[in-house]
Amino acid sequence: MPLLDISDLEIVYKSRFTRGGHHALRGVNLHVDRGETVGVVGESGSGKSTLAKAALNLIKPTAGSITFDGRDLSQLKAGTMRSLRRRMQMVFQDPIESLNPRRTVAQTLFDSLKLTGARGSEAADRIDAALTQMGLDPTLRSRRPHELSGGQAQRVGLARALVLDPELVVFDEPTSALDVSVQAQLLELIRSLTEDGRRAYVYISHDLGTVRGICDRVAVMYLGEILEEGPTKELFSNPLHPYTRALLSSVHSLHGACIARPLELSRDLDEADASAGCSLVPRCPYAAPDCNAEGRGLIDFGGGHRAACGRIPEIRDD
Amino acid sequence: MEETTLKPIPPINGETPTASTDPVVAVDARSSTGGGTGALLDVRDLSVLLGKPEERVAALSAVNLCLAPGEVLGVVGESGGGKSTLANAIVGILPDRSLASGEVLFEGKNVLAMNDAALRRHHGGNAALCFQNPRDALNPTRRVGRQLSDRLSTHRGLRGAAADGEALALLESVGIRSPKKRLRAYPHELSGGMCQRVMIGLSLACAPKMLIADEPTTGLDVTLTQEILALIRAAATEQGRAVMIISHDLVALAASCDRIAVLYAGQIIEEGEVDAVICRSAHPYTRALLDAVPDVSGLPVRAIPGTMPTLREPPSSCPFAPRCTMAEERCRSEVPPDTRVAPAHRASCFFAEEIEADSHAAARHQ
Amino acid sequence: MAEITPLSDALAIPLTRRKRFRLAQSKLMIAGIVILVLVVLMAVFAPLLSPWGPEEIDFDNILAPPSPTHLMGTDRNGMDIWSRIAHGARIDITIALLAVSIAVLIGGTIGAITGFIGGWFDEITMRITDIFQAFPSFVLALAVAAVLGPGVRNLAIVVAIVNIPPYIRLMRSEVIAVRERSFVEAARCAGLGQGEILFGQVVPNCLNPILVIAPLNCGWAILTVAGLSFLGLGVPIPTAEWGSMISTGAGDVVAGRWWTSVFPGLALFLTVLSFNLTGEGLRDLFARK
Repeated sequence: MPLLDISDLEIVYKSRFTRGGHHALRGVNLHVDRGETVGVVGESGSGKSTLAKAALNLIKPTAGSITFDGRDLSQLKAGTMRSLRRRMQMVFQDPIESLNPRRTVAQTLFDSLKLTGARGSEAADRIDAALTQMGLDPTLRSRRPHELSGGQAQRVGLARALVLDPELVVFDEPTSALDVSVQAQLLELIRSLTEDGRRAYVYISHDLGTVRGICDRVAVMYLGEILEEGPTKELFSNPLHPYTRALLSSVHSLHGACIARPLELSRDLDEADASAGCSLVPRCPYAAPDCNAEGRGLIDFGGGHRAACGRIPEIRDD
Repeated sequence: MEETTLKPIPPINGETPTASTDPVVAVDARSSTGGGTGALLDVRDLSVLLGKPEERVAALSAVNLCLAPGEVLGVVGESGGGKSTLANAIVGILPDRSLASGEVLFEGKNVLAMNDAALRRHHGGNAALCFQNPRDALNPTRRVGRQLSDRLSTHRGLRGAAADGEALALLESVGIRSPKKRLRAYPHELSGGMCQRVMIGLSLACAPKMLIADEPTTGLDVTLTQEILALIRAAATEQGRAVMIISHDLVALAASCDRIAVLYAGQIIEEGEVDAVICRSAHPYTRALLDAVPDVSGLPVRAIPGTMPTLREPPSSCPFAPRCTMAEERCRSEVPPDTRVAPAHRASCFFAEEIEADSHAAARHQ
Repeated sequence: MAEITPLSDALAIPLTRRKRFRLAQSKLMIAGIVILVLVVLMAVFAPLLSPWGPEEIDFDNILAPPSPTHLMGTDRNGMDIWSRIAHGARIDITIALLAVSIAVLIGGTIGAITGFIGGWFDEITMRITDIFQAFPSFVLALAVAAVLGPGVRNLAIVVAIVNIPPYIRLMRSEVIAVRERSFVEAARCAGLGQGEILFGQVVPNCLNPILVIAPLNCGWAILTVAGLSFLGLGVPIPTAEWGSMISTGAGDVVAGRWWTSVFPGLALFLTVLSFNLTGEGLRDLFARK
């Protein structure tokens, strides 16, 4: 049984501009097994951040279910949900913003530890251990967020998530607000964490290079749905869905590797493209009349590699 | 109106070119390698100190750069490395309290010594700066079309219908669909990508001889990044302007520039043609940076230990020495010479030749 | 390296002018605080500082001009004006501080809850607040005072009630802005309950505007008290209070006995001014941060 099972998840926001509301997520299915690292990539409007927050029940789903260790999160009472939270944690995108400006590092970590009931010196020891494990000097504990650099603040964010020893950690673009060399340092740290296989991780990012380096499996999102998913190496070396191919061909490798045969999508991403059929149709070079039919779902191509495009068998050798 | 389809950026040549057989010459004067006699921009020995006297920061130290029309130069560096200061110096908008030495010659005239009137003509007309954060750089209370026509009337004297027509043409040329509708839009109604296109359009409105794009693709999606860079590159290749792209995204620069200059702690530590700097790097920092960028090929990231220093005065030794795996005693006590490892490739390191040869060999084996 | 030359001076604001401006501003704030402290000390040590009781009548010196025995003269009842000013400070300052504190606590709490919860609760609360704010505050104060009747305690209640709506609004708008920030989400993720999030995480980040407005509000509170007393709706007659002193002395001023109203007026003016300066100084302090 997977640790986290997201099933047919739909999240619709009421919107003044779109009739019927803004569909942030439309029927997403994703599962995360214990100890594995799953990457979720997508561009703006893909819904990946919404997915991250919904996975931890920070946003109420409109339809569908999120099951953690066999328990449906929407059915839980507030108290039970709160105690379940120590097993699932999140690392946020903006490191300094995700810390309370008026609380010191130690106080923020204390707040997290309240869930475990740890107090006094026991809590202080756990906090110091967490900080040290993230490569920080424990004397940082009395600093406020504005006294930290971006890299330090994000390590504090990591410490905060890990101090509870959760079974699942969701990373929501943890390095996008950081500078290149700080990013590299943090990525090394994250990589070492994910490699020991003790926890399940979900890594949300727009950066394909990072995801390639860290994740066991990858899911590619577009306008609220998952278009392709599969083992990392397989997906990167043999992308099936036209969108994945376009995405990979627009990224360059500094080490000369040719990533994907070039595939170009016409015009810019437009959030109004989203539809019940295939949302890529307005931009896809392979669009055919019956691509607009509803309910394709992900088609299995073997080895855990799935993609939501009916024309793949014809176009894969193009 | 027909949508303009933008050409894709040609992929980097993964092949290693034939090795240069010219003897390596160490050059005393820190001269730039590009531009040559047709240089539009000639930065000579530029040093800039910023901030209050108690908190002086040496933002730039002895920077030398050239840029000719039709060329695309990429300037890569981390935040705090001096990239924005360089852009500001070239355009002539350094903050009030800065001290500068050296020259920024634009068509032979020193920007640093210009008076107000000359500076006003210089902005926009000569050198246009395309700011970071396009949404912030646009006036939120004015429609896009209005901002464009204002710029056109100030710098090119166009008014009324002529200005509107030109604004429309500009929006089209930067790849905005339904430009007529977008003319009447406010900045907050446009997506990040469209704001960036408008920003580029605004910069090009004054028909500048030189365009400087400061972090044009930060925060943009991957597919959009490629298009925006193509747009900026077209300003050089198709319109013959001199273009400088400043970014921390080495991959983006590698894909869109002719030459690259690497800034570290306010100094240019390596400069040369794209292929040379990426595939045959001659400076330890460039090498380390290449390994620190997450790459789609799956190679693990290797971080550079430590952080970039903030210098209080121009350095008297190699600024990268504390973090460098190859550093020796003389690196910490002497300023490394500007070594020319190839006709169009220089690096300021005592071991430039060895490192270049090593990178070359490593690239061959990949 | 070549000699460093400064950039075009035409672009730079002369350093001296900028520095002078800032020093002047902080001097004013310091002056405000100093005066405030002096007034508070005067209130605290009133009995020690007054040669006469606040309601003690000197039958020989009715409407006497300032003299060594009566530093600020006496009023029409023969009471020493200086002693009455010192004791009056107690009433005015106490009511102002008390009333504003109550207003901040009640208004702030309501505003925080309604801003955090939103929905129909928020709608109802804001409409009720709108109704209160539709009346000019002094008119409202008059109405409530008329209902409650005179007395020091009632005065404090009146001023508190009239000043609650602005704090509801202030706190509410700050909470609405702060509740969307990601550290609040992080707190939710850490399993903290709603109440703890609101009062432990959100509210501490919403205090700046309130801390700036509150001192300014104190100044207005004193004026309200003085105004109500001037109209006879405040403190009962012989009690020493600046507003009522101005009122009783008004008729005598016309006859040339200026000290009866001018001194209490000055005291009022200086105190309100000091509150204002302190508030403005705090605002600048937060703005610079």
